[in-house]
Amino acid sequence: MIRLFYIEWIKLRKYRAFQILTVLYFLIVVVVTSSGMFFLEYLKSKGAEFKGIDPTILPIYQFPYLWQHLVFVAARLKILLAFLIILSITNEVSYKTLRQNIIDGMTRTEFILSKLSMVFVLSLINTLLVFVIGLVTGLIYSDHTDLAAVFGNMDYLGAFFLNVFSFLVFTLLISLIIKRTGVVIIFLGMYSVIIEPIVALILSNAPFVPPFYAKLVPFLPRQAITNLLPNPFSQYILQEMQNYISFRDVAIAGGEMLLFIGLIFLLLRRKGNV
Amino acid sequence: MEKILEINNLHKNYGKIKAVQDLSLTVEAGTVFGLLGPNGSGKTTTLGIVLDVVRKTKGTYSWFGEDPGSESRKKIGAILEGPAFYPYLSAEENLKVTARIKCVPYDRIEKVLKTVNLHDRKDDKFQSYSLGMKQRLSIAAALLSDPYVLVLDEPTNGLDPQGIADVRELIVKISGEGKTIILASHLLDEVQKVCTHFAVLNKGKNVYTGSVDEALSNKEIVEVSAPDRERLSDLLKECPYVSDFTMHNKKTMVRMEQHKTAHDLNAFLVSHNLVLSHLVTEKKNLEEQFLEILSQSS
Repeated sequence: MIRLFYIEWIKLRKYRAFQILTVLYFLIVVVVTSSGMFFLEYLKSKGAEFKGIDPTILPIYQFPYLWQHLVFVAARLKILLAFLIILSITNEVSYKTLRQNIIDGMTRTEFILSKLSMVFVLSLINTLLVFVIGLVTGLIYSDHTDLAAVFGNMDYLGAFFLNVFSFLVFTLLISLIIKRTGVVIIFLGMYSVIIEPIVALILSNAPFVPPFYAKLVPFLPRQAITNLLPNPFSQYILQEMQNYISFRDVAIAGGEMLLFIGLIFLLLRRKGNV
Repeated sequence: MEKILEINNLHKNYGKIKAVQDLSLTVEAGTVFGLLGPNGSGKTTTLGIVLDVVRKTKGTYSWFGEDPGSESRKKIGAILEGPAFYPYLSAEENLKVTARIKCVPYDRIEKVLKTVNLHDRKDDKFQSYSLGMKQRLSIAAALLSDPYVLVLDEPTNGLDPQGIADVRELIVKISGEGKTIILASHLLDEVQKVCTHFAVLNKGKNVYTGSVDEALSNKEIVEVSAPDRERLSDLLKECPYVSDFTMHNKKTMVRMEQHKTAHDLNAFLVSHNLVLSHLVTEKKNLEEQFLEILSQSS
């Protein structure tokens, strides 16, 4: 497994797009997630208020609520990592190196495992990074720093890892099916913004669809991934939100992640597909 | 002799198109085996199947007498349809990827880069290479695991004369080290220059297999002319050494029986009191053989 990860690492480490995208991504994550207080100060200076409350007293960096805030914000940014995964697949196809790797003696399974190992490591680094940012910002701003508060809500980090990992696995699958960089990017964009929302709308609201189908909406891939991390900020406006990670959401997203991996293996097992 | 590659009754259909039909062939250790055939005759498809990147419809093949798999592919050095590398990586980095895949130590990289004469450019990106250099790098990658057999698909395609000469010299040098080489080409001249054995594919069928020397010693062609054309024609019909002949305006092309040469023909004609005014042995080449095989097969 380490050999397979290392192969992927050699392929990417000197790749300028990889260097730029990862550095940019992790930089943005650090900047965005740790500048929350400055953002609230800015809002305050502009005279903004939430239901009559001074924005700077919102508990965004209070342990243990901090974790759900951080992971929600960090999860918005993972699109940059998706670009990286798309490139790492479509390049292999257009340079014919996927084919050459197999001729050289890689099995299809090894090829997929080497890609998945990179996805895994990126998701893991991402999660660790958010963990460290959480500790640092929390220790600076939080009023409670007892262990129970600091390490409460750790399940949000687990859900964040699953959120990033399954999204990247989904991206990997789509890239392998479509194979063309530009088309994959356009498709994924359209899928998230247009296709899936419309499908969800039809399933849940269209008069000609039996009501049962509305139950399928949480199973749509994008929805399943998004549902993992409920929006914690809505509570400051609507004062109503799911304040926990639901086992059902984790099961759906985790199940679909395994399904995507299964599909990836199935797709490459078919010879002649390289 | 040890069998490197054995293909039995291989079929490949793309829908209705039969790319490979009932193809069988055997490549023995130490030979330079040319896979000949016009464009679209199934050479690359056949190699794709035995290299496990094209799915066969039917048939079997084995490498080194073993069932094919990733382990046997690691013992093969192969290029299919041109060099395939990461353009943004240097030659050395690209070969590191190959070395990791083939489980070969990095110190081989230096060695193969020297063999193909790319050592000075090892830190330059692949995309900055000329086609000839790219082709040589792919041979270097194929040599990396010090394989028993090299599979080269059109290795001189698109190269300039110098590039062609370099690659051919390399192939001859490598085969001199005792490696088996399987070379797909539509360039007959190339096969004649470097191969010891060859097979001719046409429309996905193996229509001829043999050694190059044998093919070249086969049925010599002699060009003759004599003032008395009628008598020449009569005598040629009579002569037991002549397989067949065609008379053109001035010259007559005579195909000799196996192992008979211009010398035998001349002796025969002189003994029958016919003196030739022109006698040339056609330069032996595969082209003629090849075209003949193709015309017979279709």
